[in-house]
Amino acid sequence: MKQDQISHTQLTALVWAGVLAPAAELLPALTLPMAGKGAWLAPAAAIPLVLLSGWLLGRLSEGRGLAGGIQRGLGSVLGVPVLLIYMLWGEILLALRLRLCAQRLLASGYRDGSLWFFLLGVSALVLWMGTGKLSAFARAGQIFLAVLLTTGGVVLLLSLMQVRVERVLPLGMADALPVLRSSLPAAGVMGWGIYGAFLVGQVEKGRKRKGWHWFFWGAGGCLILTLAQWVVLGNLGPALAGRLDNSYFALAKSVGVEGAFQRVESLIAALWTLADLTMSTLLVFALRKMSAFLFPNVSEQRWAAAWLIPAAAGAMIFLTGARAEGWNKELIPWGNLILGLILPGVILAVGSLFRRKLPPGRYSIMEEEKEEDIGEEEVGEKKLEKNEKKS
Amino acid sequence: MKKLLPVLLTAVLVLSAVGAMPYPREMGDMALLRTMGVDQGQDGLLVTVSTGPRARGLQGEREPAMSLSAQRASLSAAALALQGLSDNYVFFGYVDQLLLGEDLADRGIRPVLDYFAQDVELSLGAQLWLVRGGTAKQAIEAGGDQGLAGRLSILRTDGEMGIAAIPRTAGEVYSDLMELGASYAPALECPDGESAPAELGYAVLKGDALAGFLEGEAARGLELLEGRPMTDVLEGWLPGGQVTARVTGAVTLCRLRPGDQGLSVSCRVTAQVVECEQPLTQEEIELFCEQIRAREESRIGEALTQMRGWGADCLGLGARAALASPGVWPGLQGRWEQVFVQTEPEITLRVELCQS
Repeated sequence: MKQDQISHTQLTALVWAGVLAPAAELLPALTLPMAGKGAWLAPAAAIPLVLLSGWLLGRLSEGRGLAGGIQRGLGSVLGVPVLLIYMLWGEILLALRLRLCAQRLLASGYRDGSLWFFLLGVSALVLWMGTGKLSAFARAGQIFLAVLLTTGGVVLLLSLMQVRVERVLPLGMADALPVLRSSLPAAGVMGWGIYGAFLVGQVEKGRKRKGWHWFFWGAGGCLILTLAQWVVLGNLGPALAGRLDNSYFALAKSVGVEGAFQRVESLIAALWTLADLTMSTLLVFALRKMSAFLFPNVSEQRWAAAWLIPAAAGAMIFLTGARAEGWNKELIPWGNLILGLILPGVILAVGSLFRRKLPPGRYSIMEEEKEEDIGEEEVGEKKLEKNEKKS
Repeated sequence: MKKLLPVLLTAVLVLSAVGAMPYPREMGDMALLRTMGVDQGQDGLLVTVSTGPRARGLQGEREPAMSLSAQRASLSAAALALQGLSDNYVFFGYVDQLLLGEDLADRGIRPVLDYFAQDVELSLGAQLWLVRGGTAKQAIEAGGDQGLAGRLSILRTDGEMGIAAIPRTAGEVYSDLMELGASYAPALECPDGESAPAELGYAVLKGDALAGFLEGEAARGLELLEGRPMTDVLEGWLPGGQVTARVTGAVTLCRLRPGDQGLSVSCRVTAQVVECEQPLTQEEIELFCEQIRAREESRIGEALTQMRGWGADCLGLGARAALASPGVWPGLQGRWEQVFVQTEPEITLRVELCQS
């Protein structure tokens, strides 16, 4: 198991590559009704929330994964139901992501083909990656992120010349409050990445933990999204962007280079599948990790299939196109905020409260394990000292 | 995974058997539309589409452009009807030129722009043209065997290089209409319905309907205000003889004057002397600059007068001025149209002349 480890960079790359899928779908449509012209600033305004969520989840995980952290914080009686909530929500996100990915592929092929075909194809790919090794998936995720950033960068660069500054500026003090309000849905969109916290246990611990690393990735990712929103709104304007189903892909439709290529949106929509694949597989890995934590006797690979097959079936049968898009816009961001910010905060608060009231070593199983580990280490050290003296 | 592979292969076979697999199409069986025209017909919208010259056969022989036309109550119905008129699979994904008839523009172009924004195949990146004094159908048919797309593409490229009218995409026009309540698009004239259409200034839209046309000096004024002047040749008469200069650029800045005093427009025009009998003296340069200044100022004035007459700030001068005066704009934004119409803009023009 120790061999299947990933680095901090790989984990954050996986999270951001996955988050780019809902971000392209929902921003700025979700923030425009609140912030209007200032909607492009929403991802920047969400930086404190994103960093706070990262800090809470990191604190709770303690380098061992969120599943263990939840049980350490709440104990077995409360911890298991809360973990089941995370599992259920993860399954909903997985079904939704599979459905939306299949819908996008169908649209990029100009409605040619069938949703069944694309859904089956995507699910098969996710199953293949989700039953494999995390380290292999993490290496692929780094490449996916590079491809996605390059693709997005090219679209935005080609659109940069058409930006009209008066569509996004000036902003006054009156815009400050709406922009701050819009940071909530923006943080909710980025909250798709919270399931990365369940994989923290497989992150290499050899190197020193660097706080700035998370800060850099969290704030940097938000700032890149802000820049992207600026270009999208500077091109389309807030009113038109608010009317379109998907501003980013509508902008990609208008991008072309005379004599070289005229229409690239199908290619871009197809490449964006990499973001869907990354997010779906990340969710599968998180779900199998949580399941293995609760039922250690069953192999993680079996759990991957056990979560994915119902999700794919639910995506086809239960999630109709309108329902999937409605949930994606109205329900999911707020749920992500609750599970990424509020619940971790409550668990940490409850955990610290129990630590004060109960005698040491009684408030959780994991804490006892931790103390046992420390005890074993001390015994080991003493043995070593004795051996050295003898020699 | 080894156990899973046969299951997946079986699923793919089943899906292909029930027709869920994507349907393959040969490029030769497709009619790739390049130009689309929409007119207001008697019983609905008249949609005319045209391909460019098509390649066919092993040698890629060029077949004449195909043109189709259908009239229905809505654009979707007309587009569907077009599919039934052709032997080929009609594909709208390559439509990059959109022509709108004057009758349609009089009624409102928003339904067409909405359709372009929502349709899976069509794109708001298509170039928008308004046909003056005729129909889009006439203009497309005037393209003949070669189709109109090639000529319009050249006009667009020329426009980007500053030797033709400023090109506008459907997305730019739609966005302006929604943000500013007004916009403009290059106008085409199709005099006899047979010869290729020619550019004729700009159509100004207010709300989503046609407000009027800017042509000649007023059209040059609009280009100066937009900061994208057409490469224009100006002749001047000095004591030493005739001098010719070419306008090479313009930078226009707008400010809001305090109170409700309206706009202050300052424009810097750069020009280069291209023909003169002998090098100009400082006095002659100043005199020629004054002549250029008077002419360009009158062009800007003419454009602004017409725009104010229609109550259409199609260039977003108010919004641009707001960037320089962000504190003034919030109080003015709601009644900008009224202020724009009622107050005379202050125009300041400076000319920089360069001798080659």
